[in-house]
Amino acid sequence: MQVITIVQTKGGSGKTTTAMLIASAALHAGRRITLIDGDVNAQLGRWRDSFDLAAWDGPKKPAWPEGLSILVPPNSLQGLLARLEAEEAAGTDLVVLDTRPGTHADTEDFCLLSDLVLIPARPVYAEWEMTHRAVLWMDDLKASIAEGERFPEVRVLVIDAGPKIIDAATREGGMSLLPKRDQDVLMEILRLDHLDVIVPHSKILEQLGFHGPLGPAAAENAKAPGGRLMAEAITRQLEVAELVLAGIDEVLPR
Amino acid sequence: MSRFKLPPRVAPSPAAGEPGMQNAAARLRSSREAQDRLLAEQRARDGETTAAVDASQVRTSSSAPEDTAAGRVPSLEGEALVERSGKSRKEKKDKIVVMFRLPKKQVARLSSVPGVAGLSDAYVLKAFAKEGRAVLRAITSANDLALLVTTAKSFRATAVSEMTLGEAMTVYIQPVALDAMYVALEDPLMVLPKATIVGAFLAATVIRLIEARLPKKVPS
Repeated sequence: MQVITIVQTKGGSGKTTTAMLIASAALHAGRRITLIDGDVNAQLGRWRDSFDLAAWDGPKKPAWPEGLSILVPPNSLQGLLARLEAEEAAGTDLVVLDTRPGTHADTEDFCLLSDLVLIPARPVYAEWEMTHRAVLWMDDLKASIAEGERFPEVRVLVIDAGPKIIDAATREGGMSLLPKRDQDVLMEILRLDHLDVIVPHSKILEQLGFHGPLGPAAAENAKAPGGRLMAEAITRQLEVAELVLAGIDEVLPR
Repeated sequence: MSRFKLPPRVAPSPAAGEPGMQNAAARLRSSREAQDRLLAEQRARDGETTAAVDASQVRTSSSAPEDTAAGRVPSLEGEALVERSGKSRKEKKDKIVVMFRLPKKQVARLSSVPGVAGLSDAYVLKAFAKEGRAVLRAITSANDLALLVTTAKSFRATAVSEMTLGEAMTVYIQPVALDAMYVALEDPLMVLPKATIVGAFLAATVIRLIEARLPKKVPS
């Protein structure tokens, strides 16, 4: 079982969105996933409720997939340990822990129990400092535990990137066309250990609460009259999510 | 035995010292260190191409000794100066709409810039213009203009028929830089429109940025 904690000191940086994307890809790959929502906003915890409440106009709304569970974190550390053991015993393939913004001791516990800490980073000037701080926080956390003890892998995931940023990061010489300030931000983020994928900006990212897990949403939209464009957009996002999952599998071989 | 266990701590939790604070002093300090490193790297890079790129002159001016003496930390290019108290001090700038034009022969050189394959000249020019605008915005003294004056003068002497059609752009200039531009183009009484003067320096900046990006000729 892979255990991933998603951490960012800044709110609104894509933590919950990252959790939803990973869950969508893992579900599509036939894995069993449990999401644990440690964020005070409980946006991930309400994902199923949001999806149930969403009024789909046209396509038939699929049933919530059985392989995807969403839990609130237990009240104690012992409870969390017991929960993780229970999930492993039940054959869960992937547990994703979403956390709240800021630097908190409970978030540190989540990290120390995980195999991978993922730091979503939007490549904009206002946020790279916060990404840097999250990485430094993880460095400090590593230094606070005894030497030789297991510590999770830490990776940055570039998310919500515009076309120019993607162009700059992927085309040879593309960087020279970015304004200097954006170049610096991108270089600073890519200097950190990162997954080898960039999640592009998309409206679908903002509508995950409405669409629910991407695989079933794409399938139902494709069946509905006039739903082809939406199905294609969701499928594109699912393909990106699959690349994120592939990046995670590289770091944490199953 | 379960694999899930918390490792023993040998030092206090980093979060314990700053519970729930996103802007704790320690992290701000770390962040400033990162910014300082970034700035130092930028200067080192710029130092290698001082002869080719005027931008380094612009940046070094923001960390002039008088700034340090006044208790300010060096700022990144185009960013408002930041005082040690954390309050930002924005310089008032003049907003000027200029017609961004370049000599046609400069446009012909764009295809030699690495990385522009498949992009239209208009798109590449726009990217250079935006970068040039950021450089102009950061100019704070006559010294910053020194490398641009010759190019700006030759641009002024270029016939309109030898220039591109042009595109309107908004540029922000600090008043002291604007005054220096008039003096440098030998119009101390400010007879010419601001847009003409600033447009010449915008073109000069872009020309130098293009030159800096062109592959360097290897001496045979």
